[in-house]
Amino acid sequence: MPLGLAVRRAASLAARPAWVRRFARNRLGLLGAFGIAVFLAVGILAPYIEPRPYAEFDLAHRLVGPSTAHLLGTDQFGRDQLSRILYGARISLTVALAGTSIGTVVGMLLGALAGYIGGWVDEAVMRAMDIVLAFPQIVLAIAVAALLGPSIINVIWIIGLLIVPQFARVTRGSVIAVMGLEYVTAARTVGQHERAILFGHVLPNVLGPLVVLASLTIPNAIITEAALSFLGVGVQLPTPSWGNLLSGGNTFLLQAPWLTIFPGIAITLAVLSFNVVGDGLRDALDTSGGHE
Amino acid sequence: MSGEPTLAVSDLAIDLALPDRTIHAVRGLSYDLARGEALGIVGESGSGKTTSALALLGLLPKGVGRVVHGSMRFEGRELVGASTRELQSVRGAGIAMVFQDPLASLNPVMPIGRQISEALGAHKGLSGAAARTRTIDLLAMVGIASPKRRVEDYPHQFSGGMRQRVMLAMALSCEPALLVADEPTTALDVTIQAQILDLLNRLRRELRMTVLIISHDLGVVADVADRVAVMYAGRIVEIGSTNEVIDRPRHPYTIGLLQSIPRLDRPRTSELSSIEGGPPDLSKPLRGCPFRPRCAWAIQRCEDTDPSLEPVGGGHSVACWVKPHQPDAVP
Amino acid sequence: MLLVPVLLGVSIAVFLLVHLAPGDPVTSQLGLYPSPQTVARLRHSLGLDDPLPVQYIIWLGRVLHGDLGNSLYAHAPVTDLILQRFPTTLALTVASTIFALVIGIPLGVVSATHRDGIVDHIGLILSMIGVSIPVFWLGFLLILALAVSIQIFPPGGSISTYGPIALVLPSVTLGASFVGVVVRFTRATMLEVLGQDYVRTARAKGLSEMRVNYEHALGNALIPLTTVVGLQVGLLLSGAVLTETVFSLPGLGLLMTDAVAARDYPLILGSVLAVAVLVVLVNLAVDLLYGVLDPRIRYD
Repeated sequence: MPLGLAVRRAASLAARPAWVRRFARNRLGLLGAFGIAVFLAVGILAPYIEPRPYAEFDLAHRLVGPSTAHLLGTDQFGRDQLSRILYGARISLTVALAGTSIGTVVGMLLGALAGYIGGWVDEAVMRAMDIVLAFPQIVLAIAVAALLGPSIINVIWIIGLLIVPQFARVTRGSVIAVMGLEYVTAARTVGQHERAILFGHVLPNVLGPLVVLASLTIPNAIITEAALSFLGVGVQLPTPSWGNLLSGGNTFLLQAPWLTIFPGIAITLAVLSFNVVGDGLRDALDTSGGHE
Repeated sequence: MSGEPTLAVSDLAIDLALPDRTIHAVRGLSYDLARGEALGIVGESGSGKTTSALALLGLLPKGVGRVVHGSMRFEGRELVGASTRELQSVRGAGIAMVFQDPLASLNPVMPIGRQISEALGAHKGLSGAAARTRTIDLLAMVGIASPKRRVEDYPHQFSGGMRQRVMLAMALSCEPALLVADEPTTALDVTIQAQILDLLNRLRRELRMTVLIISHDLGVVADVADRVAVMYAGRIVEIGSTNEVIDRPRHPYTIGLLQSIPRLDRPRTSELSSIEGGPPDLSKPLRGCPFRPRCAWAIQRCEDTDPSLEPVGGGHSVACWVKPHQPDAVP
Repeated sequence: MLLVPVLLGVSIAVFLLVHLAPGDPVTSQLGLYPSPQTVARLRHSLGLDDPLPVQYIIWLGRVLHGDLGNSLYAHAPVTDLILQRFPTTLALTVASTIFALVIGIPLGVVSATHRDGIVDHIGLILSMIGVSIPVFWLGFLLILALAVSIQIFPPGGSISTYGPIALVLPSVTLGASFVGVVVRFTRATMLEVLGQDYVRTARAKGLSEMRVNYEHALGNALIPLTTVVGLQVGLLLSGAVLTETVFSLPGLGLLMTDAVAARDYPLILGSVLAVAVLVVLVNLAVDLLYGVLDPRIRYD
């Protein structure tokens, strides 16, 4: 352990300030990070900051446009749209983050297994990943969602499933690359346990590329949730999510365009924030190594 | 060889702005190139020889290379500060250039015939069958077998030497007054090198071309050039006729270069030596002679003042306070 | 790509999904309260009591003959429905690809040749927004702006009703996210290519910047771009599902979302299989095209 630890410490001590500094110089990236912080805060604090209870009907004020009473207008039941969007942030971001986490963990484990063991395990895992990748994401998501039935939990699983292959591929590639490095060979020759090598040396080294990939996957997860909910196979009403707010709103596209416009702005801003940060992280960590 | 020189470079200075520092790559370079003459420039990498050649065509890397001062007059036209349009009319037509790595220098996805004929289109207004005929003639001239069949071939279908012949055909297509050959044989095998140099000499005679040949290899330059200029740290330290410089070098750096070349006409008194040390850091201000740290003859004066070129007779000039005679041997 | 194993894998995946599908095909055919004997007889005649691998082989045999079963609600063969809708989706994806390339390539080239210039910054921001906007929302915005406020385009509907103009807004919608990808990729490859020696050679010949950039540099940059375009096919088809739904454009995507709404499982799975096979085939075609475009591969 001492050898590997020392190498890793030295590497992280040398590397951390550098990429933090590089990221801090990226003004767009910082703006995105601020955006993410705001959305997360909104998601966490939604019950405390919503101007009105998000489910409260007010049949006297149905489909009212933006005003001081209802900053973003009301829907067909007179519910305050701002409250619903704030609450929707909580649902949409939870789904996206949970789905991404599941996919990341599963993909990482599969990829590490494939890269570390090699042979037929590698073949089997990676061919399975090819097959998942052969399906267009939304198409597969719709089909699976239609089969499993619409629910928040199912959407999380589906998002996880969709991203597993990318994480497995990146992890596998990095694991194979790292295993060729000297200090891993050194750890092996001093008789370190295989599992200790995998968790102690190899995985910490693939974290950089995985963090970048995850930060670029979250925005896709947000869009996938929105798309599934929009098509009616995702988060179900009355629970508000950005996707089903859009889907409910476009019924009244002509009478109440604000019901379509504002949820979309929320989605776009959230996705944009994550994309900008992901890009910034990629540049700062410089893990690209060519084109994907 | 009378009248105006084909090329007159005087007091040229070029900076290369890298992200973290600025390199003063060329620091007061001056030379004349008479019509029909072949001048060789020799120096190690980083001596500024390629940078000064790229500057002739305005091909310094964009946003990085910049001519700080000086003048480059080609057939009486000032190239420093010339507009892109003016430079475009000079490039290929007035001054043509052959580069070091012929594989990298040819467009991999365009047939070589088209790469040659597009220069004809740009400068001579030739197109279609006329351009094709001329292209085939050019390929034959540089010694490419069955040129008719090969015009449609792509660069990767040629060998290294053949690719450099294609580059030559391309450079000569518009009958330039000046051919700049930057390390034309460095990427090639020794036997192929000799063939390309022979070809260059033959073409030079037949077309009565003015040639500027650049190499780190004094042997290559000596094969072609009438006169040799030795560059060190961005300026010329010794210049003279090829025979003079090779037989009676007077600058310690030139002496060192010659000692690193195996010679058949000299007794093997000492082992082949290479010059110890490396070139100075050109991003920092220099004091005294830049070769001093590597020089065996250095005296106190070299510490304080940078010598400038002084004639030593026979059209031979040297920038050195000591100007050792080679027979003095290496101390 | 290993074509046959992937296609086989895709078919197995879809077959397993068929088995996951809720609703027993037997009970749905027999109405209420059938006797156990009738159920068993029908199960046997449908081959449902065979082991799973045997059922798969039989199913695959039928699929290979173009038999994807019958739609539960449209009461028509799934294959016919798919073939009928396919041209619309093809037209939509091709039109949006063309839109994305026509806008994206020049923008990417200018971004690269005038790096850090105003076009570069605008292009970068636009492409960032382009990849961040959900396609379906963009569709609604375009409908509000160009079909409702100013009534230039129909708000939705089929090509047979409105003619090719029905494709304009959907293609722009679907192409918008793609533009960003094309801009960024073109810019990156161009920057790489512009540093190559042969670009310097082209300039040294005295060619105009226009010809250096567009003939020599772009000629080389386009080759990797074809791969990216190929890889986007899956994404485009995903986007097409949503775009067709927004614009009620009767293509494969709308067929699929209608099938989802109606819980028409044979139709859902048939469409999924068709789309996945299409993606695999397009990727193969791109690999082959790559060989045609790059002479270095062609002659190897």
